[in-house]
Amino acid sequence: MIKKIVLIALSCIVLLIAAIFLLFNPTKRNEHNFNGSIIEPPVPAADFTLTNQDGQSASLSELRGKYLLIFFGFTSCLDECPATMAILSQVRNGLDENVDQAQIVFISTDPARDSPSAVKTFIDRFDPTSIGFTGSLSDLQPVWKDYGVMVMDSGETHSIRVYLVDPEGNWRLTYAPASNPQEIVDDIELLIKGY
Amino acid sequence: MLVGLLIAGIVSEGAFQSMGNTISRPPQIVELVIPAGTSEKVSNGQSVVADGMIFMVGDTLELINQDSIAHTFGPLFVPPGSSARLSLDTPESLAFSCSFEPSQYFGLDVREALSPGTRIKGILLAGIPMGLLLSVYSVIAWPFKEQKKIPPTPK
Repeated sequence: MIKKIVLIALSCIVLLIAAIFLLFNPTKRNEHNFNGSIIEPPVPAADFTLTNQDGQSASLSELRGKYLLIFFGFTSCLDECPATMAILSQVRNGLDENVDQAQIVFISTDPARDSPSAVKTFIDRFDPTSIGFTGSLSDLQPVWKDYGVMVMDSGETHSIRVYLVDPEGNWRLTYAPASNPQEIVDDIELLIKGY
Repeated sequence: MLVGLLIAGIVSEGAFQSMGNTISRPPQIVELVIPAGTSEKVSNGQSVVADGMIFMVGDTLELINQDSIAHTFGPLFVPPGSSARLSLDTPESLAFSCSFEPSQYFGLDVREALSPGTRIKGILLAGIPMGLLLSVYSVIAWPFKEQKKIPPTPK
């Protein structure tokens, strides 16, 4: 009788320990202040001179003083490019009183079809304050290379990544496609606070 | 029950020891260096970085670019002379597009770290059902065998 009670008690203890381990996961996660991929140390973003949406020659360095959200895409895209531009528009609007500190920058991967007017029509659908760049293939190729953008199929297949450049003109963070807009907003606010 | 736990413990710990040290270490930052001259070697079809790295959940991959051009790895962009980090929070096998391999793909294997708690959990999960089965066996089989040993009663 005593033997049976001991066995039952032992079984109960074992089951209890098993339940504790199943419910409690001891794996620790790394803590990160930023949601995007941090570029450390920050290095100057590659400057370029291309044609803007108004048909004028303009450089990236002229936009210093703002947080730049740079995205490469093409204006006739029906999925990833407009989706990303919509996310960037949400990011800018989500900055509330800091909205003027952020600037969306669109750079074409399809020089054959993306004329300045086509770029203007495209970016105005999302945020009229955005700046769009296009140019000839020979103008754009070095920019793609500097930003690690792979372009294939006449620009329709390309790397999708958002680059965050700080007001001093340094690459600071990058984001995967379909990132949560609030996460990017939180990161920009951290940078504004001096982190 | 105890016999079941003992057998499960021997099997589980034997398997754990045979898999080596890589599955039990705590999360850490793992550096992957893209050395100078990588772009030239890659354009010549040479592989520079060993593929098939194994990571633990919670690890951080730090990609350090010592090359003269920017490199990319999945969501990461690493300008020359800088680094970028990728948190690996989910156990999965990843194959990211990258610029530092001739195949333009680089694979990562992210595994669940085997902490002492996980090892005990494994022993209990295997040992308890085995112990219960042995208990049932002892209740059903032993009395049956004992019945065979009863000598026939003399008439």
